[in-house]
Amino acid sequence: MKRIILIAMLLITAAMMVFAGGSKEAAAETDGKTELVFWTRINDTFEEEIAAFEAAHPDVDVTRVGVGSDYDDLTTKYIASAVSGELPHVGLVSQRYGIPQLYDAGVLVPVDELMTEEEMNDVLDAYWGRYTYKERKVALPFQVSMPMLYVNLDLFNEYGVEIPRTWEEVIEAAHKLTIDTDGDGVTDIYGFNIPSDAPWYLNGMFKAAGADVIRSEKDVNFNQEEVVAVLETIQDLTADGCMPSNQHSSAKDDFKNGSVAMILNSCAGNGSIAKGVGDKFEYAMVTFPSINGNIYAPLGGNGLGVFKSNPEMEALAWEFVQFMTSTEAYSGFSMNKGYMPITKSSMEEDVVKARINDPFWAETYAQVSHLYGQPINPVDATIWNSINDILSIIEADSEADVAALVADTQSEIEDFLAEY
Amino acid sequence: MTAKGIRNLKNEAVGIGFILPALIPLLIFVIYPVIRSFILSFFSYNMVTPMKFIGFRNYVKLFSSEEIWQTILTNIKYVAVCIPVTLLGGFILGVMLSGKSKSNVFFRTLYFAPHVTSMVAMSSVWLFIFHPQYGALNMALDHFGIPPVRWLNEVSTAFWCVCWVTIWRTIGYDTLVYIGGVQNISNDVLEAATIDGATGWQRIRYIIFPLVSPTSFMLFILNTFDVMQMFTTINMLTDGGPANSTQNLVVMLQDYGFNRFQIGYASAISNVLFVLILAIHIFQRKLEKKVQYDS
Repeated sequence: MKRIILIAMLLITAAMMVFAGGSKEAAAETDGKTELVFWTRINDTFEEEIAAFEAAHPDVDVTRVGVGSDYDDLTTKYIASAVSGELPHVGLVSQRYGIPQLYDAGVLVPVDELMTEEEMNDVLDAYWGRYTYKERKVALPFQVSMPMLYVNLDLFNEYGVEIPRTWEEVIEAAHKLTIDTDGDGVTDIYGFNIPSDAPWYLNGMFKAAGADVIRSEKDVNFNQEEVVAVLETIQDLTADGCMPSNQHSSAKDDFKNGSVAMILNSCAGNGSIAKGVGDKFEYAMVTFPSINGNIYAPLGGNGLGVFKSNPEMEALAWEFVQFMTSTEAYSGFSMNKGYMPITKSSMEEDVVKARINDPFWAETYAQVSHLYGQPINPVDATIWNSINDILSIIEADSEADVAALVADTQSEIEDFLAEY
Repeated sequence: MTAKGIRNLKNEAVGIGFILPALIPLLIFVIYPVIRSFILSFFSYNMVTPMKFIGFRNYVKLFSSEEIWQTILTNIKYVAVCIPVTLLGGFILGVMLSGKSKSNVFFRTLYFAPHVTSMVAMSSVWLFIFHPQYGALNMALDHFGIPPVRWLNEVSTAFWCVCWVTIWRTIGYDTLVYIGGVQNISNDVLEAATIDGATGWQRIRYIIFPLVSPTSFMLFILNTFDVMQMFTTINMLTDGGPANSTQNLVVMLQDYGFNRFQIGYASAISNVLFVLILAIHIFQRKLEKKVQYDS
C-alpha cells in the first residue's frame, strides 16, 4: 500500500512539474494544417481578416491569441516570452517601447530581409522612423495612428472661441472654456486635458519646441530647456484650474460627457469617442497644435513583427503580414477604427480617397505630412514612465521644480544607457 | 545496511513522497524566486540582454532616492491605518452578527461579498463613485451643500480613498473569521459571567475579546501581509499617484520591473519589501508571546 501511495505521489509531482513548465514549442501542425500563432491585444480580433487569409490558405490555421488589454501588457508578455522562448510567429508590436529590447534579444526577424526595395520604398517615409533600430527595419508599420486635438464644437460656438491651431491658442482657449455653468464657484467644464498616454503627445510637443530627445542609440538628451518649458505650461494649466490635475485616466470619458472642452487623443480613438458622444454635441478632430510654427505629430499605433522560428514559418508569417497590410484587409477593421493607410500606393485607392474627401477626416489626412517617427531606443520605457511621474508631481504641486525633475530623469536615462 | 535501516529508509521515502507535491512548487515558485531576486539585485538586467554585475549600485541608487523613503512610509501608513480599523471593525461586526437569526445570515453575506468580488470590477465602480465631476459620492454630497472633492486626484485625499476601499474589502473577511471565533466560545463561560452579574459590555471586554485573541493575532498577521503587498486596488484606483502619494513598494517594483524593464533595480525594491515584512513579522511574534490569550 505504501508503495502504491509513494508511486502515486511521485506521479502527481511529475505531472505538476510538467504542467508548471507548459509546452515550450507551439504546435507547428494541427489537424494536418500548419499553425501560425499571431499575438494581438485582446480587443484586436481581426476575425474577418484571419478568416479571409485562411480561406486563401486552406492548409494554414491562424491561431490569434489576445495578450493583455493594452500595449504595456503586450510588451511585458513579449519580453517575458523572449526569456522563456515561447514567442508567436507573428505579432503586433507597439511603437511605444520594447521593440529595441526584442531586436537586441535576437528574436525579431528584420523585415528588410523579407521585403523588396520597392516594397520598402512604398511605405510612407515617416513611418519607418519608429520601426528602424541600429539601421535595420525591424518591424513593419501596421495600424498607424496620430495624435489629434478633439474639440467640442458646441462649446466653442456657444462661447465664441476660435478653433486653436497653436499650443499658445490651446492654452488661451482652455482658459476661456473653463466654465462654472451654475455659478456655484466650482468648475463644471475644464478647458483642456490629456489622456493617460500623455508622453506620446508631449514627445511631439518637445520636438516641435526644438528638443531632439533621442538623437542616437547612446545620445539621449531629455534635459533641455524646451522640455522644461513645455512641461511648465502643463503645470500652469493645472495651477490655473483650466486642466484637472491628475485626471488623465478619465480624460476621454470626460470629453464624451461634455465636461472637458478639448483633449489630445489618437485619430484611432475616434470610433470610441463618436460612440460615447452620440448626439450629445458636435465635435471635430483638428490638427495637432503647433509650437514655434512646427507641427510634429508623433507616430503611434503598432507594427507587425515576425519572430524567428524556421525559414518556412518565417516565410508564412511574412505572407500573413503582407496580407494583413494589403488594402483588401486593411481597409476594413483597421481603417474603420481610424488608423492611417500604410503605403504611398494605397493613397490612390478609392477607399482612401473617399476618406481624404470626407470633411470630418480632412485635417487628419492632411496631417500625414507632419508625421514624426521619433527614433526608438531601449530607454524609451524609462522616458515614458518618467514623463508620467513628472506630470503627476507638477500637477499636484504648482511650486514643484520642473527643471530639477527633468534633470533627475536625465540621470536615470544615463544610468540606464550606461548599464544596458 | 540492516533490515531495520532499509525499513526506516522506505518509511522516510514515503514521507518525502507525501510532501513532494507541496515542496516542489514551493521550491520552484517561492524559494527559487526569492534567491534569484536577491542575486538579480546585484545586476543590471532588462530580461533580454545579458546581465551585468554592478555590485551594490542598485541599493545605493535606491536608498539615495527620495522615492523609496516616501514609499516605505506610505507602506507603513497603510498598515497603521487599515489594520486597526479592519480588526476592530471586524470584531465589532463579528460580535454583532454571531447570532443565528436570518437577518444575521443576510448581513454576513452582505459584508463578505466585497471579499469575493473581483477587485478589478469593483475598482471600476469605485472610480465612478470617486469621480470628481460626475461621481456618485460628490453628487450625494452636493445634496447637503458640500462642495465636490477631488477624491483620487489630490494628494490630501487619495491615500484615504485607497485605505477606505481596502478596509471595505477586508472587513467582511475579518467579520466572518471573528464570527467563527465568537461562536467557538463555550456558552457555559458566557452564562457563568451573566449569572455573576456581568453586563453585555463586560462580557465582550473581559471574556469574548481575550478568548478570540488567537483569531485576532492570526488576522493581524494575515491582514498585515495583505496590506503590505497590496497591488490591484492601488493599481486600478490611482496607479500610485498623485505624486506617488499612494504608491507602495509592490506598485513601485512593478513600475520599475515591468514598465521600465529595470529588473535588477526592481529586485532590490522587492528585497527591501522582504526585509520590511520580516521585521514586522518578528515584531508581531514577539508581541504575540507577550500577550496571554490561551482559553
